[in-house]
Amino acid sequence: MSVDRDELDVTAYLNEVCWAMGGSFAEQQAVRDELRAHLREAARDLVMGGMTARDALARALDELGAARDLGHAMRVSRGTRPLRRPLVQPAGAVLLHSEHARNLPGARLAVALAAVAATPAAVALAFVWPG
Amino acid sequence: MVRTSEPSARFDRELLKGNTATVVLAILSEGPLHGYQIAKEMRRRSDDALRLGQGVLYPILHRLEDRGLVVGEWEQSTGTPSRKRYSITKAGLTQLGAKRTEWAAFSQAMAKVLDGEGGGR
Repeated sequence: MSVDRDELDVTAYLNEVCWAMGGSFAEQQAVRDELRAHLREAARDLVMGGMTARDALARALDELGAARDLGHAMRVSRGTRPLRRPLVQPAGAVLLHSEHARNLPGARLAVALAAVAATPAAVALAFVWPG
Repeated sequence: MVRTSEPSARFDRELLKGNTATVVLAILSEGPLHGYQIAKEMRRRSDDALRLGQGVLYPILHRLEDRGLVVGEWEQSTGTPSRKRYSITKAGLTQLGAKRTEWAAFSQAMAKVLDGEGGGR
């Protein structure tokens, strides 16, 4: 297994932690750096104990615990705001900008326009909704 | 997220979780350490009985830092990514002293009850 694959695993894990944690970019970066250092040290010790690099990383990730649980615990301890995905994706904008937009039947065009109109409000609502 | 190895299987999860902050303060009272070193030290000193899901340590460290009981400092060294090292503060030492007293009184009281040393009847 390549180092790149290991890096992808670590990055995916840290992304999930940060997603569940929320907070500012700086807060998330600090947590990423701290956990990355932890994983590196833990994996190094396990390799010195005879494990392969790949198995050591898998064990180190396992011992840190579920990413979502860790992120949630971080959010509670740090009092950070959760991140939220927009409730409505701006699919309407994509539709209207496609070259086929002029051929849309009236009802679909209305839905697309409504989606475009609702997106900013829905995104704003997603960020102010109490969590 | 608290995991227990065989020797600690008899420990209640909540008992461990509720006392982890005190254990962390006790370990840091002997010198500054990184998060991973704290987790290792916790296992070593308890003969592997206090084995946490290591991730549980970081929310606790950050909470202790917010409360001014520990302070974290980033170490920059050439060639390796930075690491955060935690030290106990004066307020942390005071808190640890109070927790030690509380724990001693609590365990003494529990021992009396569980060992049947009341002599009341």
